[in-house]
Amino acid sequence: MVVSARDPVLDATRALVERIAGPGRIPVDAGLETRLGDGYWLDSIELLEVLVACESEFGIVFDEARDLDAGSLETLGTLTALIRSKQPTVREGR
Amino acid sequence: MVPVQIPDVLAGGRWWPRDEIDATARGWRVTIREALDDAPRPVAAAIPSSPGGVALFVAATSIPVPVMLLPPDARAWRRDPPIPPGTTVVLPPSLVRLAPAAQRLGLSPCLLADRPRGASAPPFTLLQSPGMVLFTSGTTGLPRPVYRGMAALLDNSAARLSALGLAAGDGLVVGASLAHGNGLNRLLASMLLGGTLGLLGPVDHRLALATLARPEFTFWSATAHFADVLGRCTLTGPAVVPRVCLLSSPVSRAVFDAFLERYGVPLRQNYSSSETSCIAVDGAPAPEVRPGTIGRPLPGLDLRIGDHPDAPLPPGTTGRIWVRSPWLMEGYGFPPDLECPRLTAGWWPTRDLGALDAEGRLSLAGRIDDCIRTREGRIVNLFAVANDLRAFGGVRAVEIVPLQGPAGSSFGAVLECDPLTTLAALRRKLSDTLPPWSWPRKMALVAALPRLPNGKADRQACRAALDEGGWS
Repeated sequence: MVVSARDPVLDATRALVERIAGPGRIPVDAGLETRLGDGYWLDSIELLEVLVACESEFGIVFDEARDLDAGSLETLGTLTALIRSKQPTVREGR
Repeated sequence: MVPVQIPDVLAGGRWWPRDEIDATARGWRVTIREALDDAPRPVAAAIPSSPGGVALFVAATSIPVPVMLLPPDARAWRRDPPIPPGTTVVLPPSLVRLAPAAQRLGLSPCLLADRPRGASAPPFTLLQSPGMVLFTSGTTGLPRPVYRGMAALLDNSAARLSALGLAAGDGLVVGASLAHGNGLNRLLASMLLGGTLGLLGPVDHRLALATLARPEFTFWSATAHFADVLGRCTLTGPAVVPRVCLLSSPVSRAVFDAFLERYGVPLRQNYSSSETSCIAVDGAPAPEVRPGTIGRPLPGLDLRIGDHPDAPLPPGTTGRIWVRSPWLMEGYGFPPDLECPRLTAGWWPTRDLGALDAEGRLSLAGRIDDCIRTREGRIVNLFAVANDLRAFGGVRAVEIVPLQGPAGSSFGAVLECDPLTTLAALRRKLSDTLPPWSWPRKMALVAALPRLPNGKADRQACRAALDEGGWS
């Protein structure tokens, strides 16, 4: 996975996930490898909230039946990588 | 028996023609019959929300034995009362991983193959099962098996379709689990309509938008939260949904209005229970659909409000909902051992509170027991969740607090724990014990549960503890 530890996309994604999870569900050692399911304890409803918020926050649109598989929604890092892949200008600029 | 047909199925953007579903079901039927050894005992089937789940439903219900529907998550299988030991539990290829869990519960797994033998077996008659076992949230705090006759299930489903103005060939989209009461009713509805059945995944709103816009679909059985999301997410094409969008849990006025403004289609309400199937549905012309009401009782069913059905309350007054229905369950339990429904003067006492308006439209006002209907449309028994939490090491006391959002209900838990107990450890135990929809969405650990002078938990203070997060 190619996601920088100091990445504005990661920071924004993390803030968004943690806002939806709420303060009681943020692991003390949260990071790229933190799982969205049994790390932030997001259920399917909250995961859907995260995706809709990501589209709004980053000005992207996920592709139906292709982007949103279990692998891309596994951890904070895989979600961040998915978002970066949907942002051509950001990817080309790095 | 009304005519039925296997639907074509659309899932994950791919079509499964009814012939393909039929061929798979024929092969699986052979395997299931061999496992049952032609004994007339009930069979359990774990039903995923997929074309394979539809094929398994078709295969299992074509055998003349009662069928027990189990969700594809063994944590949600009922342990109290237990499924009778030795029951054959049929697992499709995608769920063979559940075989060890089935064996631990004393069940006998029957594993289905990806490429079933006997796919060239002769055609069979659909829906030969005399009835289905569902699981209710329970009236005494514990979940209960409910046995429903197949003919009553089908007749009720046909009455609801008629009330909604749906006809043969109409397509139906389902976003809920197929292994619960609502999912079962939608499966039967799709077989009655004989058109197409669309299955939505839980998190892909883009695929949902593409599916709902297809001309094959006339009817969306929606969850409150998905309807909320589709009313506010970014659109990349025309705003098109089926002309009938039906919810099984209430939404706020804001969610109703946003959806109506965007799609020009109202979110209709439906009211049903495991014991009765559909009780009321809003089949009014679109301009007359209102967010606060469920619509009128189905034709053929009587409904009263009050402490006793012989003394109904006047319109506008809230009380217990009583139902007299030709489609009532056969009884609680696993057939043939059934406990007959306890009726009062021929009326079934639901666990719901409601009121009728002067025009006979029903609105709901909560439940009498400890259950809530979540944003996903699932009934969760808060009493049972609290019991599970109390059984965790380090937990001394638990208070469950219902939470309300624009798209429906969820709940939080305040736990009085010893100082070494961590939220992360409790969440891990929860995930081992309960399915995700039964997890509290907020948890707070406290040294002492806030209590009122009479010793009862102080709900208001508990709610504040949840807002503050407690220990973490």
